[in-house]
Amino acid sequence: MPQDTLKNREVSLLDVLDSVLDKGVVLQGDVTISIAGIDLVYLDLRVLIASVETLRQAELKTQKEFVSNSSEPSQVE
Amino acid sequence: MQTNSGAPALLYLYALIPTNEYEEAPMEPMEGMEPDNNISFIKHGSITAVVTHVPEEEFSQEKLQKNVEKMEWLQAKAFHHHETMNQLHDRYTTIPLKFGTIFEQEANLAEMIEKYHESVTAQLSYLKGKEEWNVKTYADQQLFTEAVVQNSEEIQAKEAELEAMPAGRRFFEKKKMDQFIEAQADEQIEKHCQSFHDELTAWSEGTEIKKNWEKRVTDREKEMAWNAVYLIHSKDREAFIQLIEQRQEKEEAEETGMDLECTGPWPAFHFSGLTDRREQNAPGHS
Repeated sequence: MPQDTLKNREVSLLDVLDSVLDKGVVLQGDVTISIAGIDLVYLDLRVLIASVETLRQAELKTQKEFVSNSSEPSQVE
Repeated sequence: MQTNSGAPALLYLYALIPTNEYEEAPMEPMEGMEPDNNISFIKHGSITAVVTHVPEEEFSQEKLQKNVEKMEWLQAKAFHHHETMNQLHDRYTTIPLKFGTIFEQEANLAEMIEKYHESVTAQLSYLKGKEEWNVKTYADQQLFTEAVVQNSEEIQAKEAELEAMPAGRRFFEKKKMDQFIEAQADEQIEKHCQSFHDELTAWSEGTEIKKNWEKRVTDREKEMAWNAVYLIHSKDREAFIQLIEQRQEKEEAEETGMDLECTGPWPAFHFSGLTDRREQNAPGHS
């Protein structure tokens, strides 16, 4: 369903992490600090998916509370 | 360097943008990583750095390593990074830096920009009017496995042979054959994805094939078979998306069991950085 994705510009946390953490910046010397060799998306998948699930459920719950008086359908998957 | 609260602060770098584009269309104040500290734009000649102050007690290297393991923390900060980047990319040519690019002092940032000036300038000129798209393909392995068996007389003959074997030997021979079938199916899936990738590449200025996510991460029935990013001209966006939609329709019509998904437009996360990644990700090199 590419169109839905495009319209809402809604991406999953994994999508974001896969881009913003991919091959984290590593600069030498005292100039910067950076997350060295972060490979979270692939590293500890079990922990990650468990957390994402929990977050999604938490989001749903919050969303429900927010929209309970509204006719708008929830945007959260 | 101090935050508003007086605690020692680090400088978080989101992105590098062209100074002229910023000056033509300056942005309204935006909230930074920490609600107390807005995003600021530091001009270094033709390059402008988009930064915010972050507290050392959360973003020092040691603390950051620990914090990124906390999902709530990481989710909030990574999404902020992502959202900020989208807002920048909507307005300016953007070199997006990775999450967690942090400087201890402004002087260090200046030094870095000085050092990479040539590469950054070249990239900003190259990235103008371009954007990144991520395309993922999911495959129904069962369908491909069945097709392999159906299309191979050799396998069918072998299966008949297995039936006649004593149980012990049959077990091992069957295992061997299943592995062979699976490898053949994987090869077919790869070929299928590669042909689509080639179509998309024809529209792209750069491509990178990424690691597939495992099933327990995607939480889908089908296995991710292809995960790649494409750098395209923004003016080609409609055509690029149409290509994906047409391909999806074709997959459905032919009942291949392939599902396509795309996200974008992203700033050029995979095609830029302080150093030029163009050579590495030029079509044909990936």
